[in-house]
This record gives sequence, structure tokens and C-alpha cells, in this order.
Amino acid sequence: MSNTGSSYLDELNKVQRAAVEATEGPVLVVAGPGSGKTRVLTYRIAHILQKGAKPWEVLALTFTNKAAREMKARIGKVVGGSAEKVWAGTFHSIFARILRQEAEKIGYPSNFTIYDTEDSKNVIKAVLTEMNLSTDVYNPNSVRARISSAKSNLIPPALYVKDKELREQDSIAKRPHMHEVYKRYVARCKRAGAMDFDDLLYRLYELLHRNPEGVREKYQQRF
Amino acid sequence: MVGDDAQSIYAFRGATIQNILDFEKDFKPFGIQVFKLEQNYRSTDHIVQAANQVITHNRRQIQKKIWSYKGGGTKIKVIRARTDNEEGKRIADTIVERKNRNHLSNKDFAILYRTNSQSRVFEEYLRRYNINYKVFGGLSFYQRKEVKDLLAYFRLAINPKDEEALRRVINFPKRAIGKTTVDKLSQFAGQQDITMWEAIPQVPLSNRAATSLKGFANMIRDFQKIALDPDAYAAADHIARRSGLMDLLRKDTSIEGIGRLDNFNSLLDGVKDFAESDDDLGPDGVQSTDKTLASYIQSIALLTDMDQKSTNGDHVTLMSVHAAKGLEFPAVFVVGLEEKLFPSFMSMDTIDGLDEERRLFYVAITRAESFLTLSYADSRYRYGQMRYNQASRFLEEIDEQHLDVAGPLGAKGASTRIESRMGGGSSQGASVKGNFKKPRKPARPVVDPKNFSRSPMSEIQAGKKVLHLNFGEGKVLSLDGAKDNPVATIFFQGIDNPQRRIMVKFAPLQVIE
Repeated sequence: MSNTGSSYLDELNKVQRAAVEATEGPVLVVAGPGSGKTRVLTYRIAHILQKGAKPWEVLALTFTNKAAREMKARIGKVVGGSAEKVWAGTFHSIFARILRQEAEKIGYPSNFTIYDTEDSKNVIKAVLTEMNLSTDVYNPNSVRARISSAKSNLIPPALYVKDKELREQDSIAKRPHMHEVYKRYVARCKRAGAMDFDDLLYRLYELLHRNPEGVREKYQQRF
Repeated sequence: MVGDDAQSIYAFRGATIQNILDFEKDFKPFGIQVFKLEQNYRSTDHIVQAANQVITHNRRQIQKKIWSYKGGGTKIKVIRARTDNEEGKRIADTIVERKNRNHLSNKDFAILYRTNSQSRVFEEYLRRYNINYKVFGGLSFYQRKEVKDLLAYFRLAINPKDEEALRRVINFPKRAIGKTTVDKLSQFAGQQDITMWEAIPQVPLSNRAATSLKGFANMIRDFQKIALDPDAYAAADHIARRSGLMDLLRKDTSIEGIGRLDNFNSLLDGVKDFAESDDDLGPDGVQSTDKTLASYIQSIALLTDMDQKSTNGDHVTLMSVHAAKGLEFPAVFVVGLEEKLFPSFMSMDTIDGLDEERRLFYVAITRAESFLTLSYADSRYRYGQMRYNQASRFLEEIDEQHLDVAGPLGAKGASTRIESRMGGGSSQGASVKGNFKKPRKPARPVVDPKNFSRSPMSEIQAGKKVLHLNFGEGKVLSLDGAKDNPVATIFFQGIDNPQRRIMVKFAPLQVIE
């Protein structure tokens, strides 16, 4: 580490500094535009490293790749090269990385493919053809959005089919077989060893929730 | 957790505002500490105050008042154009003016719009004025056919069960595996509940088809082996050649063909870059020492167009507001501020939707450091038709002391409105909030019958956007009644009593989205 004491703290205003120094327990920083969100986050990580944490014990999740890269570069400026070993990335990329290591515990190959939106739509079209359903009524975009929203709300096909409200909505939308489309879609992806974007979030939840071989504790202890 | 509830604009990707609002509550038992950063280092005070005013119209938010570190600055300029075309011209004019007067260069400007299709007019005028620009969004590099074809081979080399990749390239370049063969393979796989890849050695076929399939499978097996090479580029180059893709592209010497070969090669360059780079940081910001093709594929699978290394040239940036989150520019234009466009027609009929649109507008205006311009057009071509729109409600939510509505570039007809807004020379008396509104919608049909083509009854479905010859644009909320005589409940934005029950059989309706 190439740093000279705590000079980086002097570059912060009072509230920013307080947020950086509050390293124990949960912290919520609500920050307006241009108020130094990234600055606080990076200095906070740098501060935690200065206080003795190992870089690979730090996990930082962001929404965009750009934010993740920028943050790493800025942490590097404060604490030097060890910043590289901080786990900083988007939700999707960090989760994908964890899933690569643990996929077999939830029935996926570690070399699983990530299906993009177009792939997902093609799978949906194949399912619709198989079930003899019209793509006019079961518009692939709408079906995809429906499946995506179910996954985001942590509703797998087995729960979807039992959910009266969802089934009612589908029946109003004239798509009574939606639950079956969803089920076959998931089965096809799984058979192909593929996860779509929503799976990266949903399957990680599944992994931690079902907790095979104490995988949850493993990551709890690590970070 | 660090975030801004007021900038939560990705609900459709699961990042809802509720996540921030609940965090404090959920972690209260664990002694959560909350810090509010309210000092803004980016924008001048007019911009910051305008943002504060706009966001107070939202119901759910964490109270905070942003204040500017920079002070006053220039007022927010408002441009009212008669047409979308004129809007494009006047924005380009303003860029020229600011470049001269404020010594800004192209890269200091950003034009932000609600939908990507709005970029066209601005591109036209910027090109005409010889101003460099770059459009972000739209078809990303990784979405191009030639790029996806090669990526599909990479994917198969890593996971041959990948059905979508297999379908994409099983007969591309052509290798005598016709549609019938693929259908048989697919059906067989379905019956046996196995993947197409696993079905290849088992499916009963004619000799000729079986030979072709076997050849393909052998090639993929060869690719699987080479993909284990620790050098991703060695594997990628091998696959690019042996798959036949490179030869196929080289044979096409048309201008488009050369462009495609360029893209193909720049994907290979990207792999090389990845394999040779010393820093262990993948393009996604995650550290990795693994330089295999599998590792490369993983690192790009989650990239978007915005993540490509931006060419640091001197160009005006054109992008959607969504894409602009997290960026800042000395001069920003937020364009197309019209009802139904921004706020979007798709979101404005629910309060949650409208709040999200308002946060989007908040994000848009707070991208600006010194110069902010807001523009709207009285009429605009959309879906091939001329539409008349009212100015966005968001304009009215900004106090006029922060706005510069007059100015030398003021449009004809705009002047009376400006005067009344400024409280001078108005025949309408005291200034009425809502002066941005157009006089009144035309009584005539808003749609030109010449351009109207009625859709068959079966296409009118819940959730569709439709055009009604007399009522204009609407959204089908639900459908009921007898099968041969359905009744649609449609929400028309532009009319009084917007929710109408309409017999589809007799209604002049055209599906537009």
C-alpha cells in the first residue's frame, strides 16, 4: 500500500466523511445527483481496506459495468494495486461468477450459456410452435416480459400455476396456457444448460435459499 | 447501500424504487445509519432547483433538498418548435451558438431523448452543420449478425447443448443440413427429452443427411478441444477459419460485405485484447486470470452497447435518458418534452408509471453542469402520421424564475404564451399555470384518413396500442363481450373522458404497436 495516512479523508465534505468512516453495521447513503456517490463508495472501500480488510473480502455490486470499472480505478488510486482483487462488478456479472463455481449444486453445468434477449425469444417461439399456440395472441415479447416479471418476483413455474391472480390475468389477456409456456421455457433452457438474464438473479437466490452444502455460509464468511 | 431513490429508473429490470425505500426499514433492527448527501458539485443552482421542484411532485420519496455548490449560473432555456424537424434545426443552431459564445467543443454536448427513434432529426442537422456526433444505443456491436454467428460457434465450443447457438449455425455457412433434417433432429430431441446435440448420433436419417450432420458434430468436437487452450485468441482464430465464416465473409466484396468483415475482425481483435492484456480485469470489471475462450464469452455476455470503450473523439453525444444515467456534460438538451412522448404514452396512465417517468426527467436534467435546454414540438411525425401534442407537464413543474423562455430563437406564436407566462401583456389576465399547453386539441380527426389502414378484428388485443380515426392514439385495456362481437375498453390520452368502450366490429382502429 502506497498511502500516506488518511489524507484521502480530507478530500471529503463532512457528511461524505461520516459516511466513509461508519464502517460498522448497515449504512444507507441517500445521495442526490452529482453529490459524490461514487466518491463516497470508493473511499469507503479504500478506508475499509486501510483498516485491514483483505481485498477479496470486499464485495461491491453496481448496476452498470461502467460504474464498476470506474470504482475500481478510483480505489486503485487510493490504495494501489491490491484494488484489483476487490470483487466489484454488476449484480449480473458477480452473480454469474458465483454461479459458475456453484452451478452444479443446482443442476446446471459450470459452463452454462447465458441466453440474451433474442435467444430467449427464440426459445419462446419454439415452445409456442410445439404447443400449437398463435404468436399473435402469445406475442413473444409479451410472453418474455411476463416470464421475466415472474422470475423477478421469485415465482417459479410450480408456484405460477397455483397463483389464482396470475392465472386470472392470463385468462383476461386470452393467454390461458401461459403457465405451461413458462414451464416448458424453463425446462428447455435448463436442458440446454442455459440461463437467461433473469436466471442469473433468480438462480443465485435459489442457490442461497436452498443452501446446498452450506454455500450460504461460505459466502457470508467470505465477505 | 448507496443510491438515490429519485433516480430509480430501471424498474423494468427489477431495480425498483421500493428496494431503496425498504432498505432503511429492513435494517432498522441492525442499527442502520443513514447519511444524506445533498450538496451538488455538478450543476449550477437553476438546474438543481428545477430538479428539486420537479421531484416534489412524486408521492414516495426520501425527503432531501439538493443545493448547488456552484451557485446561480445560466437559466434553463426552453425551446418551443412547431415541428420535430424545426426542433432538430434549433438544437443544432443552439449548439453552434454555444460553441462560439461559451467556447465549448462537441464533446461537451449531449442530446437526450425518451426513445431512440427520436435521434434521426438531430442526426440530420448535425450532419448538415458538419458537427461530429455519436449515437449510443440502437443495434449494439454484439447484436450484429456476423458477430453473433461467430459468438454462436464460440458458445457451442464451450457448451454444445446450447440449443439456440446450434440452431443458428448448424447450417451456416451452408453444409447441406436442410430444414427438413433440422426439423427431424429437433422433433427427435423433443420426443426423447434430450438436446439436439445429444440427438445427432441417434436420429434416424438418410445417409446423406447423416453424413452432413456427422461432419458438423466432428467439427464442433474439434472446437471443444481447442477451446480448452489457455489462450482464447488461438481458439477464436481457429474457429473463425475452420467454421468457414471467415472465407464466406471475404468472398463478399460489396461495401456492406466489407463492413461485415470489419466487424468480424474487430470481434477477433477484442478476443486478442482480452487474451493478451496484462491487467486481469475483464471488460465487465471483474478480475480474472482465466484467459480461455469460456472466460471471454462470460465477460462479454453481460455487456451492453454503453459498455464498449467509448472512442474518446470530439463528438456530440446522442442517447436515451436511460443510457445517460451516471454521466454528466457541460451542456445538455432534453428534447421531445411532450405529453405522450415524455412522459411516455406507455407509462402515463398509472401513478407509479408517471412517477417513474418523472424520475427519468429528473435524471435527464441533472446530467447538465452549466447549460440546460429543454425543447418540445407542437407537431411530430410518429408511426408515419402527424401528431399534435401538448407540452410535457414536467415543464410546468419548474418555477419560471429558473427558465428562459424568450430569447432570440423564440418561435412564431410562442411569444404570446411567453409573455403571458412572464406575466406581461397577456390578454388572459393573471398568469395561469398550464400556459405551456397548446390552445386546444383540434376538433377534426387527429389522424389523416389517407394514412390510416384499418386492422382486422383479430389483431385488436389487450395491451396493444391502437389508432382510432376520431379519437387518436389509445391503449387497449381489456376485451370482453361475445367472441364474434367483442367490446374493447380503450384509453385514449388525447380526449375528454379518455376511457371508452368500443365495439371492435365497427370501430376504425389500427394497431400501431
